[in-house]
Amino acid sequence: MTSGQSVPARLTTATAVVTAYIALHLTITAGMDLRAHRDLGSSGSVALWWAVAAGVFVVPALRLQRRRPTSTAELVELVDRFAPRQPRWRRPTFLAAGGAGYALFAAGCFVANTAQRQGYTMPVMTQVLLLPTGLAALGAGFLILRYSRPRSARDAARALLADGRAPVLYLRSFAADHASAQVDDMAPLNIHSREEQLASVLGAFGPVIAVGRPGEPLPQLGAARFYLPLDDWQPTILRLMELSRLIVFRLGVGEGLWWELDQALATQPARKLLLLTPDRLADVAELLDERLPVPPRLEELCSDGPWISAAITFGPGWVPHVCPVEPAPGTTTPRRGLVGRAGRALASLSGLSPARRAARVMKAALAYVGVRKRFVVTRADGGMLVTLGKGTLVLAALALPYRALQLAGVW
Amino acid sequence: MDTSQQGTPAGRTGAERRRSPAGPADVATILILLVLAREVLVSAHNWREYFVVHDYLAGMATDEDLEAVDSGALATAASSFSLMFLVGAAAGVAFVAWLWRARVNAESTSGADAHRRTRIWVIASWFTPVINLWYPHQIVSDVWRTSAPRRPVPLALVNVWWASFLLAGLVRPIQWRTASEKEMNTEHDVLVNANVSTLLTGLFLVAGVLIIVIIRRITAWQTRTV
Repeated sequence: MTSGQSVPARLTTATAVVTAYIALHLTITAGMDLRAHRDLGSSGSVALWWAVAAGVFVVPALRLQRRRPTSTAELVELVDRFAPRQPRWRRPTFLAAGGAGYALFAAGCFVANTAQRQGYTMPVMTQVLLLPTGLAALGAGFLILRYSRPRSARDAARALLADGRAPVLYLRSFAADHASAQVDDMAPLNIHSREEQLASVLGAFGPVIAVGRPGEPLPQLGAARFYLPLDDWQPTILRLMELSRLIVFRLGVGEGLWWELDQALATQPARKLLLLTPDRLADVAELLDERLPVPPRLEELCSDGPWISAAITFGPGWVPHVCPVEPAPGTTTPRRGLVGRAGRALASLSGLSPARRAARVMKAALAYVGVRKRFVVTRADGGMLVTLGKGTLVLAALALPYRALQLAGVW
Repeated sequence: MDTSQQGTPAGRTGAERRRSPAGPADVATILILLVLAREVLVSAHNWREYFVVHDYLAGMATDEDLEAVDSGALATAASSFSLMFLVGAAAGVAFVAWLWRARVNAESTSGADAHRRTRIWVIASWFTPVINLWYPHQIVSDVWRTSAPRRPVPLALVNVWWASFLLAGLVRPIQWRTASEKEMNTEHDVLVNANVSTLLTGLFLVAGVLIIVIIRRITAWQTRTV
């Protein structure tokens, strides 16, 4: 999820971290030179200068961290009452386990890839052992991540506190959670569910929060969860609608969901609403037509789609703007001839995940009401890069204690 | 990573026309047989090379015999990289073309949801590092499973094909190494090369014959319903 920090604040923090990291490595190198009774030469002064630079960046970065917006105080208080209480050790422990999982996953990917591409240049035993080793690390990383990620997920209150922006309220039928929990394979070795991809896209506008399914043992990954009592959930939802920047409905079956939509239509400005229709339009088209002053007539405009079939936003007077994932037959003119065939073949081959296709229509629908952000669609499929990036960062971070142990003569 | 996917919309697959995979199956079968024939030639050449070297060191062969080993038609066919590349690439393209058609047909009867991998991986899974160790097996076994007239159908044939194909992939770079001139200094090195290439040919033969059986069987199942 994107932090609510400004771009300069994020840049300052990132620069501070990188400079401090390099300064620490250089300090260890200088320490090793000293220990080996070698002439410090330039290594000492270089380490000193990098340490000064790190200090210069760390101070403003810490100040900027403290100056995060506090406008979400009411929201945090409202949601925090419904956050599941957990022992203090639990999240840090599973975050650490997740870190190990990311490191194993990234290292396994790298080793298996190297074994496949360059194995023939290595000694036979190395070649034979490297591939199973890489695959074992990859599998272990995957299993650790599957176990630790739901256990270290931020709850809604923490997500709001960490971000600072007004949230995106994601409302859906609990019955839809199963389809949203599926992991698509458009990116190889993807571990992120559709809902995580959706939350990543909506994270461009604010931290994404959702009511957790009552009784679920672990939160589903994606939107940050809070759990409302079954007999008294409506006032909280109404207040959250007021305080949210965007209200996203994934339409489906369920009286509660349609009550929420009725309330949103009655009390919220039209431009705050984004409706996502499910894969089977027949389930919702009629119900939606009954409720809106200008019926969107989905069945005439869209076909059933994968996971999400269309995104709808509203202009003044609740005039709907429908962006279908798959236009209904007859609404677009198919190209004929060689170009048409090539286009259809490419479309058939295109590696667009259902979440990415949903992101494209969401972006178009939101642009219609003037809500725009850059790189919204790209966020949908960035999960694999994020996973490998996190793994690489953990490995880079582990290099520091390793070198420190070398300096101490332990390793 | 381990979950199913439903990337291809039902509407699109439903609109696609079923086509008989018999034509691509025949082409793929012939080209795979050519690849196997070349592998057998390589093994035969390596053994011939060993026997001549052995005889030469025992004083029963001449310098001319040694030169003849590397200049005969068998040697040319076995050591021609362009031939290996051409036949191998053609067989690969033909197989993937058959697999694509078989997958489209399988989806039209069982739906895209019955397949663990999206259609793009029918092609991309063979070239993408790491995942090429298990995605192609999942794709072929899903087509096998969804094309069979009686279900559940045993997957042993597909599993053995994939195991032998993977093992061959592991042995092949070792055989390249043993076949390189740098590694062949003694009679023992020539013998090792002949043994490793025989092992590789054996694995390729098992994988090749099994994939031909799989191709023919899936094609027969699908042809009945087209």
